Amino acid sequence: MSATILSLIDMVKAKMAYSAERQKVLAQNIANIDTPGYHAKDLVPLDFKNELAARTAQVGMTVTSDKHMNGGHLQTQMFRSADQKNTYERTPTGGTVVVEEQMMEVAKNAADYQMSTSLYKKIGNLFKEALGLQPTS
Amino acid sequence: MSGVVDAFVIAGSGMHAQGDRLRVIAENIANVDSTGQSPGAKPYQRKTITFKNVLDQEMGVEKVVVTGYGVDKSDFKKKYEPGHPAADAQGYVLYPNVSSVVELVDMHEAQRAYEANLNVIDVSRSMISQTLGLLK
Repeated sequence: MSATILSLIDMVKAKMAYSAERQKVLAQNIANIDTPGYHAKDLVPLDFKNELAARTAQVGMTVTSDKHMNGGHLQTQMFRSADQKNTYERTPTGGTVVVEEQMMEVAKNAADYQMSTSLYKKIGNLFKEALGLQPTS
Repeated sequence: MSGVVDAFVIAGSGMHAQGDRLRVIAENIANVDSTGQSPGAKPYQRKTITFKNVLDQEMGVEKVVVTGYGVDKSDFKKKYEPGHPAADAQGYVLYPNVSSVVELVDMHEAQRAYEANLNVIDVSRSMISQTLGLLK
């Protein structure tokens, strides 16, 4: 039971990290509303298949002496951002940031984050329940 | 979590840029009737502002900065006012190429962009307080 809950916490943590990073990218878009030629960006959703392929494709060097370092596994960047496709419009100066669209994404992201934090709270309450403590609302 | 904190800095840079833009608009509106002093002298020329996104190496975020101030090269307005000190031989006075309607619309746009950045800060702050709420 505890292992399941711990992996649940990991999943919620990853989701919160994703939302936090996405907030950064959306803030960048909004700050650059009037920048000519700026393309709106968004985080690429995590895809298990691609992640797995990226991780297993790495090849380590063979170590022939204890003093050698094997290079280890390269840390892949957890989140990647790319230009948003199909934005509402493109301004005459080439920018693709539409304030309404970005505001919508910010609101969605905040809701996502709230969901993650309340889920986290619920998981914490499970522990509290088991310990006989008063759960927080 | 650091992403949310970075959002503050980015939104701050956006607000700073829009604030500068508002200053330029204020200059233009204030000088809408600033003519030259002597006959045939040039009046106030409308100012413009340009933005660019730059990568902040230290934080790894793309902020917005003001790259420079320019002047609007469109023609000056011409009015027939023979009694004016800046009137030329034909009695025409050059007035600044500032249109108060254009400036007002520009001002509203700057205000909206500023509000959008402010909203990002608001949302980021509530996200952080939610995270801190987990400690309760």
